[in-house]
Amino acid sequence: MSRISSFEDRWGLLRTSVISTLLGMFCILVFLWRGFESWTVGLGIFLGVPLLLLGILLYLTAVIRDLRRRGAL
Amino acid sequence: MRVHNGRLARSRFRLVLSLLAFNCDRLLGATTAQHGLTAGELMRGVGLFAAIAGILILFLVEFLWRPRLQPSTYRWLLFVGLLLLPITLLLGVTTTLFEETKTVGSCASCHVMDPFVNDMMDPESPTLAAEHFRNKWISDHQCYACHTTYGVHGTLAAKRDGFRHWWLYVTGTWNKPIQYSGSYPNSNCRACHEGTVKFEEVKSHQALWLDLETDRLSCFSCHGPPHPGPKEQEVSAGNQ
Repeated sequence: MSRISSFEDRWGLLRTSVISTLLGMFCILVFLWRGFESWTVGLGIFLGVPLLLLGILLYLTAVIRDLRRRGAL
Repeated sequence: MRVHNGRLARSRFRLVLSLLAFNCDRLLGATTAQHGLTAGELMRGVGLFAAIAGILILFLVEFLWRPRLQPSTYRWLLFVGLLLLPITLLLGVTTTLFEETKTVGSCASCHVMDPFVNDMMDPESPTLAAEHFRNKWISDHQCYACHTTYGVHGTLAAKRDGFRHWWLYVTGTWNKPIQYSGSYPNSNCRACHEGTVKFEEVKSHQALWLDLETDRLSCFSCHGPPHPGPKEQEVSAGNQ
C-alpha cells in the first residue's frame, strides 16, 4: 500500500478522483435505469456528468503529474 | 453428490440467464421487437454496462483490494475504471439523452405540458398538432419533429430549449399559462410540405412565397391554431 500511495497519490488526487467518479457513475446509472424523468435528468445529467468529468480530469492530472515527476514528460 | 452439485450449478446458470433475459427485455422495451435495436437503446445498454462495471471495479480496487494489488495491476485497473469506462459511459449517456429527448414521453414528463400532449392525442381536437398526430403525418417523435429547426444547430437548439424548460419546471419558475417564446420559423413547416403537389397547387403559397420564405408571414396566419390557446389550456388543466 505504501509503495502505491508514495508515488501515485501524493496529492490525494486519485482518491478524490475515484470518489467523484463513483458518485457520478451512480447518478448516471440511476438515469439510465429509470429512464427520462424530470428528477432523473437532474440527478444523472446535471449532477452525475459533471462529477464524472471532474473524476476524469483529476485522474488525468494525477497521471500527468506522476509522469512529470518520473521525467517521462 | 457430484451429480447433485452439477444439477444445482445448471439450475443456477439457467436462473441467471432468465434474469438477464428479463432485464434485457425491460431494458430494450417492447418497441424493439417491432423496429429492431435503435442506436439509443444500444448505447443505453452499453452505458448501463459501463456504469455497473465501473462502480464495481473502482469500489473493489480502491476500497477492498488495494493493499493486495501489485502497483502495475492497480494502475491498469484505475486506467479502466477512471478513464475507459467513464468515457464509454459518457458516450452511452449522451446518445441516450439525445434520443430520449426526442420522444413525446420526455416532453410529457413535465406535467405542465399535459394540456398540449392531451390535445395532440385528442381525436376531436381541431389543432394542427392533433391533426398531424391522428393522421400520422409525423410517424414518431411528433413534438421534436416540429419544434426543431432542421440541421445540427437546430438539434442542439432544441436540446438547449428542452433543458431551459426542465430548469423552469424543477424550479417552479414558469408562468401559467405557458407561452411559446420567440417566433416559430416557417422552415419547420416547409421542411415537410415544400415541394409536395398539394402545397405547390395552392396559389397563395406561390403568391406569398417570398414572405413565407423570409418569415415575414407565418404559416399560422392561415393555418392553425397549432396548439390549444391559454383558455383551452386552463380548461384542460381543470379537467385533470
